[in-house]
Amino acid sequence: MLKMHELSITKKLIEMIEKEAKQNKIKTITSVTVELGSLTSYKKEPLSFYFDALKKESALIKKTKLIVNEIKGRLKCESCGEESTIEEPYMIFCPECESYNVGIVKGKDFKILNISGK
Amino acid sequence: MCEECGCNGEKQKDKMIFLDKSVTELNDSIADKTRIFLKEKSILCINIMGAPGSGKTTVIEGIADLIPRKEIAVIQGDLESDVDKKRLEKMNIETFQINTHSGCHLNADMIESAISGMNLDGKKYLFIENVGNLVCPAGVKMGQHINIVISSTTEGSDKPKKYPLVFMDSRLIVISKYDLKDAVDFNEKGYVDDIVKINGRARIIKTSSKDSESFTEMAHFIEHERKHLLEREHEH
Repeated sequence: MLKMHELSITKKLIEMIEKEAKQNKIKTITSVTVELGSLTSYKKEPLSFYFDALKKESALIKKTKLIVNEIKGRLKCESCGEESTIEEPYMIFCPECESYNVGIVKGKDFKILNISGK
Repeated sequence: MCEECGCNGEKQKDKMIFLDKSVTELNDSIADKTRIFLKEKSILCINIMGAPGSGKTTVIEGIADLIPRKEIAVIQGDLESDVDKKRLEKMNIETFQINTHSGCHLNADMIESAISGMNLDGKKYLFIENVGNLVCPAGVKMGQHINIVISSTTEGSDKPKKYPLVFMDSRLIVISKYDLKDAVDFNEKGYVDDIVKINGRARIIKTSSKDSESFTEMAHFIEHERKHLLEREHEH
């Protein structure tokens, strides 16, 4: 298998959910929900691909469904306070007052929101 | 007995565990420790990103002609070989090679382990020359204080449009091989306009390996960044 960018982060994701499941005495994880920001370097399709390929190797996650909530980036203008969504093609300035004095407030995270199982 | 799950009568319900945990948590916590450690040693850590052949090593060599070499250390990231490490060692620059084999970028644990094998006494600047790639290194924390992108005229002026993430997080964009801009019809205005849209606060500097003076602005830039880092009370 090609060692693509998402492979190692998918392995890390599986390691983390398996640890949480064991701590919570879950024997089969039914689903895992993650939040994936559009401004991270990870994408949904390869993540799902590697997750489905790797889950066969573990009894705990054999039947786990990976739910990916994709979140668009958002920025907040430090000059006028306006918040806006970062659409493609990316433009990182305030659409309201055109200031470059902006901060990215959403879209840079890849987080596990929850796991469920029995 | 339930045929589906083997329970007695009542089907066992799923329990949900709420986590809200970053998948990059472990990497980021190692990166935070490295960043603070380096600041305490008064070392500015600079992550250099760019496509293969964009001139990342050449830019470090150019700066090393202007700053005392004993103040510089470099961590070299490449899939294979120690070609660039040998180049820098010829200039008496302390260099540590990381070979990622098929890994597409460097991570915080690689840098932590490299640093533990380096003598950083008296160093002021630690360059991390990332694996040549405009996609994967973007947004990865390793312990760097600033990111720099090296983007050569020969790659074309459409790179900020095509790879915005790597440009978005960088304090400085270096247009390298500037002497070749006319030969390759580099659209400088279009390039700069695109950078401004993605990262209006980034500084743009032009360099050419044929003109050693062109690295002066860059040397001043990193000196200024280090001064700024040391003046900051807290490292976030």
